[in-house]
Amino acid sequence: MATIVRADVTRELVAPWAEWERRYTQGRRLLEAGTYALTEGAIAAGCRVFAGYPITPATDIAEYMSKRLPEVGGYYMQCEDELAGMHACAGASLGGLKAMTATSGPGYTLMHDAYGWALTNEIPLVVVDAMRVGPISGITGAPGQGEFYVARYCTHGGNFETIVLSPSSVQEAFWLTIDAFNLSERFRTPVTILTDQVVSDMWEDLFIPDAYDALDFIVPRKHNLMMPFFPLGTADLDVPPNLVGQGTGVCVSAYTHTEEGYDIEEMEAQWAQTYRLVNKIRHHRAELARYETLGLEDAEVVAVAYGADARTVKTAVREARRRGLRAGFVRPITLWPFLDELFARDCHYVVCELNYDGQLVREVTRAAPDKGKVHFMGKSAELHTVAEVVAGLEGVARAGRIPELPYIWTEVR
Amino acid sequence: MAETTTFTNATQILEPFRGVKKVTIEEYFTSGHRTCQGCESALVMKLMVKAAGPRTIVLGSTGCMYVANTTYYTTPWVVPWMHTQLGSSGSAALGTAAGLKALMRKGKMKAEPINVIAFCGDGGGADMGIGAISATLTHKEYNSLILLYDNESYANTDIQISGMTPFGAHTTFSPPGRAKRIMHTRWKKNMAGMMAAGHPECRYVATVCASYAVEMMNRVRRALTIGGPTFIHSLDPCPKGWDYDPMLSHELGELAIETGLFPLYEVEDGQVRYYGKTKAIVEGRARKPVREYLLKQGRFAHFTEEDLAYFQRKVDAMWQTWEIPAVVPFKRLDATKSALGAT
Repeated sequence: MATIVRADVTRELVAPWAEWERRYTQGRRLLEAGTYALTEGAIAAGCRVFAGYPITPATDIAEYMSKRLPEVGGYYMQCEDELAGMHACAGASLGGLKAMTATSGPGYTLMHDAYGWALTNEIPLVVVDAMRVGPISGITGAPGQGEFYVARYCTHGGNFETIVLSPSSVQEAFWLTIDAFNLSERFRTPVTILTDQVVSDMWEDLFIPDAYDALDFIVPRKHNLMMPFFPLGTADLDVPPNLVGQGTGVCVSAYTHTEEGYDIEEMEAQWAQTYRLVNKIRHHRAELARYETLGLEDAEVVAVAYGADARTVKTAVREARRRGLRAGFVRPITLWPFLDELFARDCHYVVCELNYDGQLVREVTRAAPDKGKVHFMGKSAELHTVAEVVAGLEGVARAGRIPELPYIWTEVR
Repeated sequence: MAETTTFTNATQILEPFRGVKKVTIEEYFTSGHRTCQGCESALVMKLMVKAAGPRTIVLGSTGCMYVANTTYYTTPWVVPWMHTQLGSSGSAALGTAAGLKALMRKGKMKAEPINVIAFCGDGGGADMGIGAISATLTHKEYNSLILLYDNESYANTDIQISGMTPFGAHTTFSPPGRAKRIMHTRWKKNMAGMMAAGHPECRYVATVCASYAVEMMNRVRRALTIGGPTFIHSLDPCPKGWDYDPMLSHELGELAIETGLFPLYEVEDGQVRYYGKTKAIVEGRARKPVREYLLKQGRFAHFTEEDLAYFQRKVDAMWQTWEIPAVVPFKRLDATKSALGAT
C-alpha cells in the first residue's frame, strides 16, 4: 500500500531576521559573496573596529573591512597574528566601539587565550570562524565542520557558556551578523559566527537594506559607568558593557574578580563569577533559540544539519518526501547553547555533518529520547550530495540503518 | 657532564665559492614547484640549499614558499623538507637541531654535522614568529640557520600588509583611494639589525639579496660554518606583490641596494662588515635616488612627489643619523661617547 505523504509541509524559521526581512524591503539586491555579507552585516550592526590577520577563507572579510571601515569612520588594523587580533578587538570594545575579527580554524585555536579573557571580563565582540577541513591547515579551499565543540569550549578552565551561531546562506550571513552583534551587546560576551568555506566563498543573491541608520532593531553600544561593573551572582541581561579610560574605575583582570574587577582568591567569589558567566546564558536560552525546521509534524526520519551542509540536506528531505518517505529536517542556527528541545520528538535522526569523528551527532544523541534511533552520516571536504542523504534516509526508514556509501562514515565512538 | 652543553658544536666547513664558475653544479631545489614567473624567493630557496649542500634538512613555515612548493604531489626539494606552522620556524629549527644532537650523542645515528635551515616569510618571521626566532637565537648549543625571505607582504594569501611592508605600499589591506592616498603609514621593521643587536650570543647575522647570487650563497655557507643559531635576512622582489614586469626582479634587487634602502652587511661576532654595493656606498659612492626603485613598482604608483620626498628623507636618515649607518637606528651620542672615552 502506497504511503500518502503530505507535500505541503510546514517550514518554520525561528530567528529574529524572519521578521526583519518582512519589515525592511527597500534596498539593494546584489550578487555577492558570503564574506561580503558578513562584512556589511557588521557595518550595519555598528562595528567600527576590525583587527585581524589574513587566512583563507576569511581573508576577504578583512579585505572588505579595510575598504569599508575608513568609509564609515571606523578603524581597520592588521595584526601580527590572530592572538593579537582578538586582543586588539577586546581592547577596542573596552574602549567603547563595537569590534569584530575573522579567521579560520588555525587562527581560531590561537585566539583561545584572548577569547577566555574577553569572556571572563564580559567584553562584547564578534568572532567569525570560517571553518575549513582539518585538522591544522587541512585543505584551505574545502568546507569542514570540525569546530563545533571547539567553539563551545573555546578556552580552558570551564565554568562558562558560549553563544555560537551558524548561517547557511549569504543572505542569512548578513542578518545573522547583525544578530550576533546584538547578542554580544545584550549578553556582554564574545559571540562566534561559525560559518564554513562554502558559505564564506559562495556568491549568491543578497538583499541589503538602504539606510543602516533606519534599522531599529540594532542594539546600540551603551556604557556602564557605575558599580557594579561585574554583576556577579546574577544572571541579568542588558547590563551595558564596561568602558575603560573614562574615569569609571573598572579593573579588567584575567583572574577571578570582584564586582570592581579586582583579583580575588576566594571560593565564594569563584562561585559568584561562575554563576554569572554560566547563567546569564542558561537562564535566557529561550531568547537564543534560532532554528529552521521542515515537515516535523509527521516526520518519522529527521535529517539534521547546519551551515552549508544543510542546503543539500534540506533538498534531500524534500526529495525523500516526494518519494513517499515521512522525512523531516532540523537545522539548528544557534549551535550553542545547544537546542535540546528541537530533538524532543521520538523518531529517527540522521545527523549529517562535515567531519568524520562525529560532533553534532553526540549532542543530538544526548538530547534525543531514543539514543538507538540517532544515526550519523559523516563526510569531509565536500557537501553531502542529495542522493547520499536520500539513500541514508531511505535506509533508516526501511531497515533502521544507513547503507554503506563511499566516503560516508557512520560510526561514532 | 659539561660536554653535553658546550659551544663546540661541529659544523660542516663550507668554504666560500670563489666566483660564479666555482659554484657546484648539483641542485637540491629542482623542478616541481609552481611559483610565479620571476619569483626571487624561489631563487633564494634554490641558492640557499645549493650553498648548504646535500647533508641538509630544510624546514619551512607556512608561506608562499611552503604552499607553492608542495602542492599536487610534486615538490622541488631533493633534501629532507618539513613544513612547520606559521609562527614556529625558530622553535622547529631548535627542536630539530636538538633532536639530531641527542640522537648522535646517544649513538643512535652517525655523528656528523648536518645543516638545519629553517626558512620563514616576512609574515611568519617578522610578525608572528619573531618570538620563536628570538628565543632560538639565544640557544647557542644548537646549530641552526634561520633564513627570512622577505617579499614584503603576505604573498600566500594574496598580498596583505605584513610588518615588513614598506611605507605606503598598495596591498589588498591598504588600497589607496581618492579620499585617502596612503593607507599604510607604518615603517618597515629592521629585522637583521634587531636580531644582531638583541642576541649577544648569536654569532652571525647577515642580509643578502639573490641579485648577487654568489655573495648570497657565501653568506649562507658562512652562517652554516660558524654554527650556533644564525640569522639571514633576504630581500626578495615579488612580481605579483610589487606589481612589476617579472623580467625586472633582478634589477629591482640591485636597485634596492644601490638606493641604500636595503643594506648588505654581515655581523660576525659583533663586527659589522658591509659588502657588495653597500660597501661602495659606505666608501663614498653616491646612493641612487629612491624614486628610481619605487616608481618601477605598481604598488607605489599612487605616490606623489611629496611621498617620494618623505621616503627619500627616511632613507637619508638611515645613512646620516644612525649610529651604525643603515644597521642600528640609534641616534649618535657623540658627547656621551667622548665622555665615556675620557674616563
